[in-house]
Amino acid sequence: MKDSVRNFQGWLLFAPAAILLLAFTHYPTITTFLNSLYTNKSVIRPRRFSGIEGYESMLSDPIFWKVFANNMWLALGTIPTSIGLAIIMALIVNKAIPGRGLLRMAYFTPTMLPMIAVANIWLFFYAPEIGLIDQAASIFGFESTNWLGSPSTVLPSIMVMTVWKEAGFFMVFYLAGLQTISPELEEASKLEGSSRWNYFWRVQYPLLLPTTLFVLINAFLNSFKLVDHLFVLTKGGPDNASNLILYYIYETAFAFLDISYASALTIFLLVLLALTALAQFLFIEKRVHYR
Amino acid sequence: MSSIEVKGLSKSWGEIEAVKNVSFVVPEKSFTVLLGPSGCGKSTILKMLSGLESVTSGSIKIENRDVTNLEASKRGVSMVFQSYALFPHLNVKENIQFGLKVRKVPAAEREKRVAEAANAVGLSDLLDRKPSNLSGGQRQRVALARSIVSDQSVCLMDEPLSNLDSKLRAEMRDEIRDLQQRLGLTVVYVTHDQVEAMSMADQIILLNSGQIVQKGAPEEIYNYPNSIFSAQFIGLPPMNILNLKKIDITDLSKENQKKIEISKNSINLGIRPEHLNFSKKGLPVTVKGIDYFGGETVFKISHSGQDFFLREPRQPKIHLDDKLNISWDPEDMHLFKKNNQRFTS
Repeated sequence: MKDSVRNFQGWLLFAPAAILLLAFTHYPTITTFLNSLYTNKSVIRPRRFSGIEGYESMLSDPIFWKVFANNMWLALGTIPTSIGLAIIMALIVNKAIPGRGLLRMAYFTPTMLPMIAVANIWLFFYAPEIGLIDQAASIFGFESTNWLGSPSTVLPSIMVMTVWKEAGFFMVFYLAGLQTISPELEEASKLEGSSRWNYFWRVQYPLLLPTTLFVLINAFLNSFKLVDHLFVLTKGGPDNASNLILYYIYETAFAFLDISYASALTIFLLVLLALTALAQFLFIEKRVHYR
Repeated sequence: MSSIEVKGLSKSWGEIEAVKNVSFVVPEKSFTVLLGPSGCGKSTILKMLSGLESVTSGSIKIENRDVTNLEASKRGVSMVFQSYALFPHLNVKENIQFGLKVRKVPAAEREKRVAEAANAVGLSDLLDRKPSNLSGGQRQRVALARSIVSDQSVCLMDEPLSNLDSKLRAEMRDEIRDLQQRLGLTVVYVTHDQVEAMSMADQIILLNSGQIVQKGAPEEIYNYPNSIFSAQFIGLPPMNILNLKKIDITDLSKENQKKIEISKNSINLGIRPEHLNFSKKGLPVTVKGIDYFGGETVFKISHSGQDFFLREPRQPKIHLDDKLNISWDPEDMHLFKKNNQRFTS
């Protein structure tokens, strides 16, 4: 066969993936980047090149800093807790206990629910006076709290819900990780007089490190990606106390119709997430794999 | 003096009886092999000795101490696992001293004991390696060192050589046997490989479906198998078993005829392949297969529909489909009764 024909066939095979990737990832990324460098077009003013003005206004935008901080607090408040819970749940359902299958399913259920449905369930939990939490609290004589309505409690409330939603998902990875550890290792350490606790810290935990780092990265990315619940619960309020970057981008673009600034915010988020992913490839994959 | 004494040991999971009323004694500083086909309960017995599996009934004594219900770490035993059970994230040294650290042995003594154990198995140069950078034989040695360093007098081994290739297996066989004698260990060794059992054991305990079939020194079991199972499990090719009804006794030598007549109710005749000889007179056979191994030749021969084997140290000029006669000495002939047990006069 001629080389040119073979090359053509090669390109044909490559085409489906390439077209999808170009059309839905690369092209939008580039247009977003270009949009961020131009002002918005309106009836009275034409579009003009503005360079990094969009990025400069981002630095001086207090709401941007607020939502960025919110996002970081959310990551900090949810990731360690959900990882800890995930490990504990995985250890429990990894044992031969009665009803193990049912328990595994129960732990995993929040993950299977769409975020919107989860938010609706929690909306009922958090509702002042009639909500589950307030009703339970009233039994012990606590006063009613507007969990989602006050700036001091709204972000922690969302964190609790996020942990509830995410821990089961991470548990699946830990369960898979635990099951790759040979049971003979446990027998060997038992024979050496190792306690359950010691076995966990000296053997299971180090062997789960690759899983932990994988989960860590995913949890970090998720903390920026998951905003569906804000539509149902708070719409970012009150006073942006629960607003997150992605929701802020949505608001800027589709509520305030400021495409240029929304594009700049998007590029910022993209770079942040790309750097995180890069960190995973370069640093973590090399360090953790002991095999 | 006995190191391990097992009495009436049983293990069942619900309806399934894995081990049925097993009793044996392991003398101090001896090498005992639990041998049997897979599923015979040998590994379960070992796990019960180690304390990793609970006992349904019966008792276990280790060095005159009843340990039946004692937890694994307090029994004074160490164990070498089939897959070695090395900790993949720890280097060789950390693997060896894992138990010492758990038991809070002081650092100076720990260093000394690790060095001794590593030296005993020839690992001194590899202490910094991770298990993933070791060959199968080296991993095996780490597992042995971990067992040695614990300084327990009883060492349990669960098919430790089954993951090695045959050349390495032969080397490690010698090495383990040598180590056991040098350090005066009491070893209980589980295997399904009769070659390992024959070459290493002081005592073989042959098991089948959870029960002891026969126990004794290798030569004893080889020369005086108490049943057809024993006769055929040990030896390669296994002992030939011929149905006496299909043999015309008058073809055999006078001495053989006499011996068979004494044991009136025997129905099977057993004879090892190496004890058969081609001869002018005797049982007529047809040659159906020839396997030449260099040091020996194994002939597959047939008499009235029964196939069996004959082993010759040389390579005689014999061809396929040749019709020949075979004979054997009466003392090499084993007779088995209807219940597959050995006939003894």
